[in-house]
Amino acid sequence: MNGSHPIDDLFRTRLGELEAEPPPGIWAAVAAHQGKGAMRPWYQRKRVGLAAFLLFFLGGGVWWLTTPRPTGPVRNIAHTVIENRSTAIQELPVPTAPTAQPKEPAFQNELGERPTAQPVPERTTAHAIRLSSSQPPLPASDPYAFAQSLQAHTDQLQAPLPMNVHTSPLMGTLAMDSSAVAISIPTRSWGRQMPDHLSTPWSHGAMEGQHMTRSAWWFALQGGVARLDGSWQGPGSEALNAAEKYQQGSELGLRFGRRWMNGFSVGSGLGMVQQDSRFLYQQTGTPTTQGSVDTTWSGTAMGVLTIYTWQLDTLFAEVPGTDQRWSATNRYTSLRVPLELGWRKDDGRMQFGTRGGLLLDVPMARQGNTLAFTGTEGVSEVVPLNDVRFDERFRPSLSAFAALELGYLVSHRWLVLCGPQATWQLGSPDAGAPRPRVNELGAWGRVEYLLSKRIIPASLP
Amino acid sequence: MDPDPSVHVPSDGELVQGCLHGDRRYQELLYSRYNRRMFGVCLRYARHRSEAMDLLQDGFVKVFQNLHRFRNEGALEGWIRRIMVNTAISLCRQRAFKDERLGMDHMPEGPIAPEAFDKLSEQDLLRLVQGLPEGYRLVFNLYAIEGYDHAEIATLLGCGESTSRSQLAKARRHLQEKLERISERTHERLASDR
Repeated sequence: MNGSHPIDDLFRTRLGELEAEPPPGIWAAVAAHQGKGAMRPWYQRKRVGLAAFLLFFLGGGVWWLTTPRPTGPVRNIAHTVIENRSTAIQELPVPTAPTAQPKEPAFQNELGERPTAQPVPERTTAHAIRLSSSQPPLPASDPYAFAQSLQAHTDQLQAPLPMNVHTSPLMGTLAMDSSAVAISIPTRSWGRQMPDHLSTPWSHGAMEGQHMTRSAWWFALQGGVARLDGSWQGPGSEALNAAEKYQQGSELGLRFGRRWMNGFSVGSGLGMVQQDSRFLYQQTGTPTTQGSVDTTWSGTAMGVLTIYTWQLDTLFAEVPGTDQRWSATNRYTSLRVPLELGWRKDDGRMQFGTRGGLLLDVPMARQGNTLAFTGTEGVSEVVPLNDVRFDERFRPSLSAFAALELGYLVSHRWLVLCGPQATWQLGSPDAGAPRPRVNELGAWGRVEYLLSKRIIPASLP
Repeated sequence: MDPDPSVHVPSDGELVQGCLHGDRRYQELLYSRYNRRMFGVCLRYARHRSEAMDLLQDGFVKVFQNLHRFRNEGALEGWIRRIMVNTAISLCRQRAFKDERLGMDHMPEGPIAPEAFDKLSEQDLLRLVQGLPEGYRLVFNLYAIEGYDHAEIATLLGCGESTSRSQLAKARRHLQEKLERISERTHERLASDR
């Protein structure tokens, strides 16, 4: 212990082990502050991560189920397009031998090369081909010849769209063992020739021989910042609006959706939104009156006697009440589920578009201060925001949003987008409790990944 | 399975382990075990009760955030107390502690009569400490009540030892002046009562 100064001793002995009862709201504030940290139960801590995990795997599962895949080793074969199907069927003779020569490919293949050597068949389009019982079996020992003869039949009989032929042991067996057999080949196309006349935003360039899907899944990581324009509505809103000013917000989340050749897309996802506001409140204490009495003695010598007189001065002074001032940054955290519809146009690597939709915000946590109204006179009292009494103030809310998109195609699959966005909260306030209405105006950014390789204009390097 | 802390009275070590496992009951128990003592500490460092509440809240937030760093090498109470003191120091630093000056050098240092202060309540003494200027209050609390020496205070506050000594001397004189005024008023009141 330092020194032995009497002042030190006095205060050490009297205040060294001082204990005092803190106000009951402190623990709630401490607990709320720790909500996102180590104090949170595991299921709350991992809720967001679990949601992102489920979203990722559900999205991946949908993509997996809806996307056809080849069943064997495949390579590309030249595409054959019949311009006029009815004419082709009428004019082309039915081959008498299964060893028909492959037709000259009309376009380059999807790698931009004309097939010089005999290409190995890729996948097949979906057509049932019935071979006549009079025809000899197809030569299954030579996959290429088999594929070409199959294509020749197909072209003449049914004139399919681009012809991708898939060879498999099953097909060879069928051809060898049966003189008359119906071969059913999966009807869904893995990739199709893009029609020249289709000049949609997504088909920019519409290059011959290019492959693209009619629609594709995309995943994106999106973030944004916004300036908030918020106000309270309902009972007590005047005092709340005077005390709390909404400031800024931020968002981070995952998005997924599907995009079509015509440029339209739909999407959804999951994100976390954080909104900050400034809470300032000052409460002036009740002034009190304090009185003090001063006594003044005076002595007057009267011969051998001294006569003492006194005068009492009573003074009353008004002591102002203690002002209490609360200052806090309120923070609201919500889970955001968007439902969006967009349209985008390509111009080289640049992308221009717009999108809009609905946002469902589900409040998750809040910290800071707010005003509680007690009694019939509506006396306000500052209390921690995370008090369960205020749950009814923060119900899930629905907003509409609109955004402009400006993007840059980094590669076949990766796209970087940004733009302004505005949101407007929908719905009317509940008459029973004050509700915040918060509109946003800000900017967003997105990194998007397309699950299907998209078309790239020929002018690009 | 963890014992129910409402039935079993856990030791400080058990409290720490429970808190580290994210058990809210242990966290609340730790808070309720030390909040009164720590609020006393905060009241000494704060200017008023409202500021002490802020200090207590910020301090306990730091306690729970840093609990994994507690090594069980000393008493948990001492560790929490140091966090509270450091929180108070941080607050004072934000208020430009070094720039604060108050012309108290002219005040004389004379004898005091301890018996005159026996009737002073702890709340009165607390009010005197809270009435000290920021820098004086900090150094006085650290030196006279917490038991830090000037070298430690200089390290904690980022100032020189001479500054610490000077602030302590001024704090003592300030308190002594206040106490003498109280003493004079007490004597006057007693005289007037007679």
